Amino acid sequence: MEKLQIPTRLREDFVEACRQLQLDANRVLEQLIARFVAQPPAKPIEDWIREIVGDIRLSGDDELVSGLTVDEYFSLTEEQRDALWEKWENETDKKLRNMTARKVDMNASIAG
Amino acid sequence: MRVLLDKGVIRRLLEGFVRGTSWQPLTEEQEAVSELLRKYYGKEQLYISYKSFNTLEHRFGHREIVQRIFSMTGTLYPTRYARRWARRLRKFEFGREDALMISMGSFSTDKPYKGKILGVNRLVTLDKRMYERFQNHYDEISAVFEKMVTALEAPFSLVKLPEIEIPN
Repeated sequence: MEKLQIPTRLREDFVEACRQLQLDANRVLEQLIARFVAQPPAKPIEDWIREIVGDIRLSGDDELVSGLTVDEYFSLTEEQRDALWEKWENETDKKLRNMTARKVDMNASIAG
Repeated sequence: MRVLLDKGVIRRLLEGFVRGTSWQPLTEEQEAVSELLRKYYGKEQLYISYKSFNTLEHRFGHREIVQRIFSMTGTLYPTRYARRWARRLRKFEFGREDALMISMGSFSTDKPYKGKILGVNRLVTLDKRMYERFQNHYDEISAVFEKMVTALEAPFSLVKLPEIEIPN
């Protein structure tokens, strides 16, 4: 299938128009594709992520997490990052150890 | 369908988003979870746990990136019986955190008070050990689960075990 190319300007205008209408551009696009295209063409995942993050730009010196810049965070090994997240979740766990939702609606929608 | 993303998945998603802002290539795992998010986003209801929510809320200095994740997901809270089921799951040698995540697949809701949903259909994780242990012991786990929930009052007596998915 031929790859769908959208000019950058058109894409930006579309995103801006959706934003003004308080609509999620990705959702609108998916609905348009579902309506008018039998099989939406797959695009590289990096392009999809860039649509999600929009105009956010981060440099290596920007703080990403408490006390670590983007470069410092990504210079950690996978294991070090795992350990960091583990530590944060354990700290959260201590704070919210007994967190339990009180009551559930009798007519709650049950997965299954 | 409701889908709960565990902390390893959230971590790679967030890292993928950060790399996306500076046109950096993704690692294999970041790509796998991003593809999975693309598959589900806009079609299924995506959730993170209250712990992941708190970690993102309090640890991440870059609010806009975190906000992207929050805008795509809801937060789930453990309900009554979540910890009881997690304790029973530990007998199958799941770690404490893994047991609570699997338990939240059945016993979790969308609000701290009077939630409108109960449980999810699918738990997504990158933890192969947890996935394999769950699959290998599924029949035994299912039997213990059924025995426990049939003794509970509604709506808890109606909950189901989630499926577990690994992005690939």
